Amino acid sequence: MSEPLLSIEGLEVTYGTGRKAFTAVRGIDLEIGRGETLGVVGESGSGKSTVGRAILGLAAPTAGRIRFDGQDITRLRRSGRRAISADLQVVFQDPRSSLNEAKKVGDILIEPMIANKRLTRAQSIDRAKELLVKVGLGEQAMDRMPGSFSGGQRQRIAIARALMSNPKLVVCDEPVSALDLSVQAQIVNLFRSIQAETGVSYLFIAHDLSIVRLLSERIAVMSAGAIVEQGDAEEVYTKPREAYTRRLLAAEPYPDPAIQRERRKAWDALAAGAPAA
Amino acid sequence: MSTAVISSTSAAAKAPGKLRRPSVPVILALTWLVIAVGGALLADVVAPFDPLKQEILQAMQTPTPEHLLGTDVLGRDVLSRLMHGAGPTLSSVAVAVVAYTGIGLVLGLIAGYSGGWTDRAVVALTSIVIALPVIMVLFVVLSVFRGNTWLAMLVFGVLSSPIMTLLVRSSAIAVRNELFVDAARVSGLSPLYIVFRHVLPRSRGLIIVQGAVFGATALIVESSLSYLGFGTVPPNPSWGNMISEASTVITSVPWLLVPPGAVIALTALSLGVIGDSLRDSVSAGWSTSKLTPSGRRTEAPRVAEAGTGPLLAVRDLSVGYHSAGGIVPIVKDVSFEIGRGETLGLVGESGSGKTTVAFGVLGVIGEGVAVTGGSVVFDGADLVGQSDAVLAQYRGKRIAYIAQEPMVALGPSHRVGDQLREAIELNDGLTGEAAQQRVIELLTLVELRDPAGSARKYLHELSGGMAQRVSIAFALAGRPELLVADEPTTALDVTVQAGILGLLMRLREQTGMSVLIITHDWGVIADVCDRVVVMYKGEIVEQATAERIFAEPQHPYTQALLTSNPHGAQPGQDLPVITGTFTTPSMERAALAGAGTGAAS
Repeated sequence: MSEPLLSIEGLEVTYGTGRKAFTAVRGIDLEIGRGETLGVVGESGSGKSTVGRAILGLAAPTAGRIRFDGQDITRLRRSGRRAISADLQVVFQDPRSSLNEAKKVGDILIEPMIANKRLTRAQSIDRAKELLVKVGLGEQAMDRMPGSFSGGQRQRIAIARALMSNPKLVVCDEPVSALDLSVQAQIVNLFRSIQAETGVSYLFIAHDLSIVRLLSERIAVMSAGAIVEQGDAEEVYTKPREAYTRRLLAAEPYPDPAIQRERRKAWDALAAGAPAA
Repeated sequence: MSTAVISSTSAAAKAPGKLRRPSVPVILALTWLVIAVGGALLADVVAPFDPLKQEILQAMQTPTPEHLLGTDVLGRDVLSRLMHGAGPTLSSVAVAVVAYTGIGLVLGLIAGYSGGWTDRAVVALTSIVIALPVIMVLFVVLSVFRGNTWLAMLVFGVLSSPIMTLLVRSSAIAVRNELFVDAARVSGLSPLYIVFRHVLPRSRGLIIVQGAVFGATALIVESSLSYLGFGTVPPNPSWGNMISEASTVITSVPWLLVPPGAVIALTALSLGVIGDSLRDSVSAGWSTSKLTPSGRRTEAPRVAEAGTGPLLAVRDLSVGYHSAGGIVPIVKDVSFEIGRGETLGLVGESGSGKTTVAFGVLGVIGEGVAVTGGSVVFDGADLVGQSDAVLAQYRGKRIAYIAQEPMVALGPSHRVGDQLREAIELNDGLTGEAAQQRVIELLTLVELRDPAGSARKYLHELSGGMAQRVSIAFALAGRPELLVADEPTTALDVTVQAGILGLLMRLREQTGMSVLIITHDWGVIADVCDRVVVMYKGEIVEQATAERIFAEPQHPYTQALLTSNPHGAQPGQDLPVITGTFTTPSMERAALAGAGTGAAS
């Protein structure tokens, strides 16, 4: 069996030192194959975003190993980061703050290409136009400011930016959580069609199991800085092994009053035994 | 739709690099600066006289055709001296401004972007420099290097630069935490590149404004130093020493003070005006146009008999904001009722106007927005157009509100219990031990596990779920009959959400209050609502019982919104997507009216 695109072993990230030290994640083991999507689900504070940030080099691992595309990237320096930045990209949750308001959309897309001398200016512009069409915004978006787009449209721009260098893995950190239901559906579909076309892998981080299972082959459930359950997406969603996963599933309200009444009863029974938040 | 208009206009105003057409004062200020700088640069060519040439016979003249601004004590041409004096004055101002912005920019960006020890070192350095007495240092420098105004102004710029440093630093810190900077780092861009291409452009407005304002200050300081005899050494002219010379003959020839005084004042004023207008254009995105509530009515509310009928009846409520082209509607002809003890869900996507309706019910629709028609009858009394004094009897008492972000309702610097007691004293008139008892009672009611311990906590010590429970306790302090909850669980984890929604249901059972819950989540609707109102583009497209809306949605928009819910979807297949637009009631009416007139003709 060939090496997975990304493999993480025993990852630990501790923020701060001394008495203020806080271990955000510990003992994380994950793998993502080529063209595969791994969903990471957990509540706020579970450390799911920290895993993504460690892969991206935005959080420094204090233990463990991260291998990406045959290379150890656990403690890469900036030159090494730049070398793999074409293959490893990110889409953040907040479409408001993830785009620089002071720049035209076109410049946001082509800038990293030109600064890293990956493409010429003309090539970058062609590529940017192509991607803006692919994400459904059209070439004319090049000359507009991010502020003139809605949340969903801005997320499309962020996706186009991530795809500029034709990456092998995109870390998606809650990319649809801030979006309206109908827009959320469009973006989920966009992620799916891009994967079908380019074979990109996703690490899809979210707090919402019902969204994650739609895109993921496998799901890892995180709680308090550790993975509590990992497995085939449908199995985790329909036959969760761990009590924590069952709690998470039972808490999601179901859009049908009759079914939800039953779920509510089940939840209240579960919650009676668990600490109130 | 209308909210989309708001966001796009504000965004357009915020777009940098596109300054609005300059106003008249700005044009005048720019013109003056061009004249002053041009005069200084071309003094050798343009000035009518040698600035040092004395003609004692023509001394102390008021303006004549030959000497346009008159002559001074020694018969030198004032206009020529002004033009030649502008060079030393303006260039030393420029030196000060360059030192001020240059040092402030570099240190501020380095400190703000890198943080840690670098940041602490820079802040310590600026604190030391701020503590130095600037004027004393300037006198020392000028005593040693007599007449070297450039050096003096360089020192002045350096000593003042901590202000710029700290301003740039704080704006760099704000930008550093933005996700787009993380995205740039992921792309392997160097810190220097990120600072100059991402952080600097965001601080640009601030830097320009500060530079201009400091320029005006530097001009005054330079003139003062020259006036005191520390600046340019006579007989060479500078604006400051011209004032100094004129002041010696103030009783015999007062006119001599006017030309140098005027150019100094004009230049300082121009710099100030330009700085101001730049600040305005930078912050234009945040200012909203004031608006008089056109829908405000003066007659007394139509008071139906209280205690009968629905608790809340909203009738044909319309809300809009004024723009150049007239009133732009945000909410159109919205009508619904909430019965006593009923939970109504208001569902819609962002921009559908659901939050505006909630604020309309609360009588706080915000600056620039007004109720343009309709009524909000609460327990028989119409609240639309009522004064704040009347509304105060309802808001926070009979009608309470909880927000998506509980942090908004709570202050960070007081203990939760103290804040809650204040609300209780205000609403119930309880004091002392009785009020304290009610605090514990309320915190117990919202099912906090350690009510007494929670009361002693500060906001930052509470988790999101606990904070939302405390904000519900606040809402309950006035024993409300209607609780308006605006996306109360959207920011929370699902497990916490389940707890909060369960609490809301139990509270409704216990107190018999009605709940208006605003959400975009069908799951929340299914969990807690008796009836549902669906909003789209500022209008209600459908309302029905919760059972019916899920089983038999009537309006195509409701159907589409329901199917885009991820719960029903199959993995590996595309989610159904809402495409196109839907007809709203007002569009249907317009179509009907159009058909009617068509038939008549």
